Amino acid sequence: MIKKSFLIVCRRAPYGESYAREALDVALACAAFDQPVAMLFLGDGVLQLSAAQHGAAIGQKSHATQLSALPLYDIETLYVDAQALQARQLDSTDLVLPVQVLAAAEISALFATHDIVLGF
Amino acid sequence: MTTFALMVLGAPLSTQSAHTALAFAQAAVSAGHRIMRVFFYHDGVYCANALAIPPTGETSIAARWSELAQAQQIDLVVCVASAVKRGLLDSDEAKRHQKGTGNIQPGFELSGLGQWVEACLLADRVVTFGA
Amino acid sequence: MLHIVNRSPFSHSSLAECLSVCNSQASILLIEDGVYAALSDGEWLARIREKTARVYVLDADVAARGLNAKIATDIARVDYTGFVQLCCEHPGTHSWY
Repeated sequence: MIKKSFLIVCRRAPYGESYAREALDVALACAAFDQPVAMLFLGDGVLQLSAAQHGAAIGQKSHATQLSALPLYDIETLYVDAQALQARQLDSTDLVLPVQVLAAAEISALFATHDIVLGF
Repeated sequence: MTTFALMVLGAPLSTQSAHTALAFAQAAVSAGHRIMRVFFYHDGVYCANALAIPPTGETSIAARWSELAQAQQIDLVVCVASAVKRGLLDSDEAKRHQKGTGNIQPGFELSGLGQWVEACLLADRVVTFGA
Repeated sequence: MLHIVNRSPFSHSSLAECLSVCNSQASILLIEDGVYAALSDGEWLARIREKTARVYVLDADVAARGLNAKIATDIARVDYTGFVQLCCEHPGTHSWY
């Protein structure tokens, strides 16, 4: 079977829009097809990983809980933009999953090293 | 000759996404390339709404996509999960949920994200038209 | 890579985030409301040029917005056929919206 490396780029905060959930569904679909998948959280996307969220307060499933299932689907390579975390007063200990915190130049390299880059 | 897979995320009228994607697809086939699949996701599923009445003087985007797809053998796939949540049902889904006869424009097919993954694997180039 | 930006930088962070990850090898295509980034002598055009010299605008979107005389003259204008060609010439595309 053809294999291509997928990078799913998440730039939106959870709850205010549906993109966060839709990005996750695409990542899971790629994994179901046995494709190597990594996820990159940029800008407001880093907020998706915050452990402090409580979706039930607005009658929604917690997005962090849904993301925490990623390792069950062998999606364990998660990258986070260092500057985005800092701007939103978060650090990696505030997040629900282990991540690699990257600087801008390292993030730039990711775009070149994956076959398919999809953004939500 | 390049094979393309296109993703459309925006609803017609609310965004330019579907219109830009259509113009791109038309240009691509005119230049001798192939659009193997267009996958409608997020609010892009509204492009498949057979009940949408366009403003006076404009043609239905659903009809325009359907016409291009028929002429060029393009798969128009609508994410079934995104569609059903937004009230876009084919006849099977309408029957399953007891919601009338369905409202999907002929030429569009409801299916899963696996169709998008497959398109990414098979196409030479993947282009997303964001909302 | 070809980076496609369709939002105005005056109202969305899409272009700023794109620029934060672009390197000098990147190409940027401005479409839809993204064409406002190409206003001649504008702050956003200067920021794009700090990153890459390869900038394009989609002519139909420039014309629709009445910007023909306001876009920097050295920015390459492409039609939809040119848009398709740019996608063929680059190993991949990424859309910032």
